[in-house]
Amino acid sequence: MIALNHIYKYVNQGGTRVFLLRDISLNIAQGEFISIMGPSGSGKTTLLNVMGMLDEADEGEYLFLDQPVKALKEKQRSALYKQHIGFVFQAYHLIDELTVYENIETPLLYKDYKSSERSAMVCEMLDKFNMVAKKDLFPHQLSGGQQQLVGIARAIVSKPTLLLADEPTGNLNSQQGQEIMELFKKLNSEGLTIIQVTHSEKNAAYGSRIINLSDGRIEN
Amino acid sequence: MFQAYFKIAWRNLWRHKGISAINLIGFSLGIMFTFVIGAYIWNEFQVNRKLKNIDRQFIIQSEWKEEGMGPEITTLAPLAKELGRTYPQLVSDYYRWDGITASVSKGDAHFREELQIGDPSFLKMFGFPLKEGDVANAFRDPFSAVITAEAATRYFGKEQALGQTLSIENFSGERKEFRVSAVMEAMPYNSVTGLAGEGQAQIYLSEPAIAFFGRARFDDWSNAVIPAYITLEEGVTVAEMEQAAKALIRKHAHPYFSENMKPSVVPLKSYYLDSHQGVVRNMLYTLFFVSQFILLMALINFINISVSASTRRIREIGVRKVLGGVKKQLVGQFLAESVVMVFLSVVLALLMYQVSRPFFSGILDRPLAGLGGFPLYFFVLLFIGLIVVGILTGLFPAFVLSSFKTIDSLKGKLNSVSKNIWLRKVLVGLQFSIAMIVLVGVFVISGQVSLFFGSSLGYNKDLVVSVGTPRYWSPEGVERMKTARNELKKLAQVSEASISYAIPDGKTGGSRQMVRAGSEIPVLMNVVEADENYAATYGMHMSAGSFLKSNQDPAAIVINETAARAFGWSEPAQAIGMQLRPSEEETFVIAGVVSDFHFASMKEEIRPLCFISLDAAPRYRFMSLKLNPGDLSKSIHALEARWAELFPGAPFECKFMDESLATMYRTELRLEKASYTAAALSIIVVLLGIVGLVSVSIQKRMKEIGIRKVLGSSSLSISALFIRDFLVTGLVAALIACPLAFYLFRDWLNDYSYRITLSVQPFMMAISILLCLVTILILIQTYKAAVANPVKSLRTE
Repeated sequence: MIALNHIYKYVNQGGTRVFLLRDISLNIAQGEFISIMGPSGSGKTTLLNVMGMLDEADEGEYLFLDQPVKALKEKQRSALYKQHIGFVFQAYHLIDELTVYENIETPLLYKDYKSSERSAMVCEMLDKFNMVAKKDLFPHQLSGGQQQLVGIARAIVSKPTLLLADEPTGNLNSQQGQEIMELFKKLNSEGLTIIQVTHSEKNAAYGSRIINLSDGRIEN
Repeated sequence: MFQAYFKIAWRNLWRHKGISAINLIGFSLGIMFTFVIGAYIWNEFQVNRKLKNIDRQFIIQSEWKEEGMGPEITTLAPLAKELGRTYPQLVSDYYRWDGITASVSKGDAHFREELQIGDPSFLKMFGFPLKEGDVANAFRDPFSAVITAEAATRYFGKEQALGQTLSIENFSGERKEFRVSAVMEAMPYNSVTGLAGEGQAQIYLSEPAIAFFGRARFDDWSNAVIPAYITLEEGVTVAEMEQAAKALIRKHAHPYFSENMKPSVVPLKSYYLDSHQGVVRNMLYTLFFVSQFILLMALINFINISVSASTRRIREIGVRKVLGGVKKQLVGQFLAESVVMVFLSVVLALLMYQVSRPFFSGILDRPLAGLGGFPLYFFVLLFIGLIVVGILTGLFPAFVLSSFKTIDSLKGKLNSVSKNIWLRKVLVGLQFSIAMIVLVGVFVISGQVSLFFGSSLGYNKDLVVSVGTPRYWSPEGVERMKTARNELKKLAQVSEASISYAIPDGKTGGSRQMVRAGSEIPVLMNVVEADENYAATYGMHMSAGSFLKSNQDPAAIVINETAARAFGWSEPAQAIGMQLRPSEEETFVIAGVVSDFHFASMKEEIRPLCFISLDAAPRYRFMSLKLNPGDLSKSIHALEARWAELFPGAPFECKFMDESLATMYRTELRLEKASYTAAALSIIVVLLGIVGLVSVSIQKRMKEIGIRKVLGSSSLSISALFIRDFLVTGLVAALIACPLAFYLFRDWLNDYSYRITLSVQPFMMAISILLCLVTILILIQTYKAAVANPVKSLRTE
């Protein structure tokens, strides 16, 4: 599904080139549950962003579903992204002005679903996450764990094939974190490919494979 | 999708109520002022448009070789009629009138009225609608009167007045009953019922009545003070018409007219806007530009606050991009927000307009149409304009914000926004500049206006009232008047009293050419008939000789210094005892030279002027009374009581000299009031804008404030941080505003022959007032953030 070949990413700081990613080569197959680990500043989030097409590599080749991402036109890339990728963040990044229902609905609006389809899909999600009663609440009325549930529901409502999660449990307590991980596992078993960045060994263990990063390189 | 855009737009506005309200109010004020000025301009453009066949209606004016040789807004009395008779293929109708002021009574109600005595075509030619009576028979009887509904109410207490009578007094004190033959509906101001000034005649008499008033007749070719209107046939040009009029004048009138005067045929449609060197049009342009600048300022606020406020939402934009929103959709969302905002502003502005309408009507001295009075297309245009403005103001934040990199915006980074700070500063600077110019304008205009009413008048206007007198224009009448004057002077409240034909309000009785004995050069002089007390009453100074005296030779004349110079006497004293000749038969002997004073508006140079004795010409219109200081309303009551005894049945209408001057300078006074309003509005808009920007800026710099406080910064230096930004912008703006204001107002002042000198003071005042206000405002606003415990602000991150 994902093939990274000799990916480099760098920034120029005061005349010297600082590498964020160095020579990353990686293959990820459909249905995998990957955990990326590593210390702060090791390039985990950068790698995730490159795979999620939010950021671009400076060198190397990136194939997503056998298509060379770099060579795609903006429009095609955007279409590919919309169809296949969902994102979950450490800080949830819910839209404060929207209710739970509307937050979940937002990606569907951008993907031009019809109104009736949208409501069916959102309701399905609310149902699945046991949040029907909370659908008209605003984010600040929810606990962190619930907010992250909404974040996940929003990420997968349009049925992406790949879910990218940047420290999804970073702001949660251990019990809430565990629930989220259980949910990920369940989603993975239903066929969703998941790549998560995490600090926690325990959470990483939920994955089928762990990738350790250090100074922008894959270890081992 | 759209629904979602509008929904989130609304919630965003609601969540940041404070800033939204500031944004909304500022913008609404700008729009409202534009409505007010728009309604005013529309109103002024409607003047005369309601008259029948307006495209073919013209007024005949006179262009004289030299200013002051004769009246300009009137023409020779028989001209219009003769045109109609000689050239029926050119002229289809005509209306001429003679305007007189007479005392009109009904029972105990006495009023001084402006009357029009004119051709019977009056109603038919302009299509004035009647409440009662019929157009064909309204002027059939020589002693019939057509009155307005307003006059009917004044005299009869109701609008039904057909068949009632009014008693009108002529200039020999004789009264005659006039029967009301028709009542006109109220009509908007137009140049037929009110040619000069602002008032409209309320009573219309038919031409034969002219004999009763002893006025020059309409068939007298030497009578040049008759306003005349003609309706041209289809396709007739002004040039053709003027040729025809010229030919008739050459044929019938004294050569003096054909040599010195050119008839000019002016379309009535634009007459109101263009007359008096286009003073109305200029005023409209000035107001239009001022209102547009204030709207521009409001628009700048709107853009500035929207941009600043939306940087707060940078993270939301990032999220939306992650969720698959493309640029187009994000731009759409921001545009929707600004359209909602503009829509709300317009609604608020319409409400404000409706509420503040009476206030602005008062300032502009015109009724302003209510919302229901606007035509439908106005609302259609408004709707279109609203969407266009909304989109234009939304475009900038929309494109700036949606073009950030997704990851940066997710992190809430605002690197690229700093570039736009420049633009924002320029916009704020522009606002400051406009506000400063308007403020300088306030000081300059009010300075000039106080000059009009100040000591440079050349006479003392304080405590002088003038009362219109009954008219018995004969030597006996003058004697009776003098007796009455002496009686009034005996009142404890009165220190001086004088009878004259004119008061210093710009309206002389007329002018005559006079020649100095032994010289050929004629000098055109304004002539004022006055008694011996005039100089004392008005506190005028004599440069040489003495003013008119009682029981003096009626040939005595007093001239002003300008006249003395015009005749060639470099020293006023040289003029004493010299002779002036208006014609072969008459000779005046100069008894005195009065120091120059402003008889007319300070727009004009002081003209040669002379006073002649009432014994030489028994014509008078005013009794001027200098009051002793004290309770003025009591003095006026005492005057009125004595007046009623002296002149039973005569109306007592008195005017302080200040009021007469206010009428003469009404345009300037209106401009002054408008400038106060504009200044108040522009300051409010600037301050609102600053409140908006500072509050957004405080939100964004909360963390910085916290860090600075932890590092030991005082509250004051935190406030100074914000103030410095705006003060620098303000000073730069002042550099731009000052020269602009200087040229603008020097130009305006140059219209006046007598004007204040443009000093540094108004500029310094404008700049310091504005900057002080801004500083105080920011101090108040930042106070809370500056004294807050830094632990709090640091924790929010």
